[in-house]
Amino acid sequence: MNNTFNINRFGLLLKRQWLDFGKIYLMSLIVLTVIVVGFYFFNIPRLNQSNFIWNDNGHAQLAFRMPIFLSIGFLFLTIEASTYFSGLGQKSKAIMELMTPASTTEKFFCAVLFSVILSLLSYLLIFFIVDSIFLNYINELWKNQKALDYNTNKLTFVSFSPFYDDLTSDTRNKFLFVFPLFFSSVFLLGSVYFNRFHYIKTALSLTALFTLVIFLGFKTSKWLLEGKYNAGTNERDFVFIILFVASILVTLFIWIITYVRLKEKEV
Amino acid sequence: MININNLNFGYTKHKPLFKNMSMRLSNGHIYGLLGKNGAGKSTLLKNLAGLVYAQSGTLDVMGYDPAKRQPALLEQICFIPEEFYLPPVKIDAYIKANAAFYKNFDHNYFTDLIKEFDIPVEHKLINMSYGQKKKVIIAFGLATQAKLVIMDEPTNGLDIPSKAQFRKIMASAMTDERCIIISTHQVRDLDNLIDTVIMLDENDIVLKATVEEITAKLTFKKVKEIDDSIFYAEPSLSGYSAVMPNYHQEESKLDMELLFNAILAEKIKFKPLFS
Repeated sequence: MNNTFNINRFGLLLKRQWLDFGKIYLMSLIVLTVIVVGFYFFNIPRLNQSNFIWNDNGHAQLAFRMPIFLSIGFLFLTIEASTYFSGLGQKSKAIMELMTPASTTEKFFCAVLFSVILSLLSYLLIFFIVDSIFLNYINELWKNQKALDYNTNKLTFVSFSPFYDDLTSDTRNKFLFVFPLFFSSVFLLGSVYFNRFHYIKTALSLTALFTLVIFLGFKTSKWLLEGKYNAGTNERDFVFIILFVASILVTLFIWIITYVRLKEKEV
Repeated sequence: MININNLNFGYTKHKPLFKNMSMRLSNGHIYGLLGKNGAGKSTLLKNLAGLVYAQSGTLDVMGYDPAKRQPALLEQICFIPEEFYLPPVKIDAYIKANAAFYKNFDHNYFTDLIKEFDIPVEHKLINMSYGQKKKVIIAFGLATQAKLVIMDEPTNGLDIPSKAQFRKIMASAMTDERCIIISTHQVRDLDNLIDTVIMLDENDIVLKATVEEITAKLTFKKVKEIDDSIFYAEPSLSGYSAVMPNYHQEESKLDMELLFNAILAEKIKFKPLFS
């Protein structure tokens, strides 16, 4: 018997976890959908509105969309990740989990699959579906209406941009796609590490760590570069690449720590 | 089946719970694990199941190190904890999700046990009483056909008829390949069930002996007056319940509660008999 990874056992574990986690998960998707719909509903542009941000394709942008996408996405992914191993903080649940005949590797991959990959995909899917439905509705509402495009200084038929355009309008946005993985991994670690109040404790630890890193980074760069160097566009892109690669490496490192914590968990 | 060698364990470094504990447990036995509150009964069971890690020493369970939590060992351990969690689903959904992990799971046996325990299968597990849940988890554990059955206070929460059913079921579940370890405070619930008594006190095992060995060396009887030959006595309605050396090969029934109190009170007197 392979005691490290067995695909049949992994399948059984997914099924078992879904039984425990699935109903709450589906309920959380319904809550998520209602929240996203609510935000869209209260932010539909009124017909007399004229101050739009126009993109290069001649579409008007929905300014509220990106902040909502980022903030709800952050909350949804981190809450899902923080909930996954929270049962290990309760003696009764932890015993049942740890005694389930599956390896730590299988339990860890199952956690990553549910709390990171599935959560991320379902969030993107729900957001895009809600956005598409509202976009069709708003574009229909604004059909044959004109507003001044400040880029061209011409009266233009208003057509709102799809969310994909907003995401790809700045090429550097692609570097941000690692952040959901990073934040999910941190909150997944928090759910194994802490026994109670996982979310708040992880959020506080992360804030403290970020503050320290930013402070040190700021001080160091100021000391090294003050008055000597002015970064150009290419250098900025390079910084984004560094940030992207560093985030991936840190995410992988956090996953390794999570695996070790799970392996060493005692009841 | 189980070899414990120089086990050292404590929840904090300065307060050891076990000091150089060594013991060997074989299959074909039902062990009763006794001890005062805080003696480490549950902790010893957790060590055997790999739920806590020893500070030093070795633990060998069916050739595996339980600390590694390998699926091959986990599927051979049926661990019934005192506190447990069951998900908010019906029994059949629970079985569907969990039974497949145990390749020897006996569905018919599980159904028989559920019937015998009179469990309402149409109810969700979360809506059942503590006793009913406990019976479900015991039935599930036994149906896994695991070779090592570990039970921590299994009769807590069971009503009087269920305790009798439990004894009957456990007696029938015993096979030559199985090793059953039951930790309990309610020793009367295990009367006639266990064949070996293990008693923990002061960081170590103070007694490990079969019921036959105990009754061959000690006799348990009611006496009117106490004399020097008595190791330990407790007042009872008709005089005293006493434990004394069995010099004349008398037959008596093991009174586990009396033995427990006797050993805790007069450790030195018993030591030469069971060393």
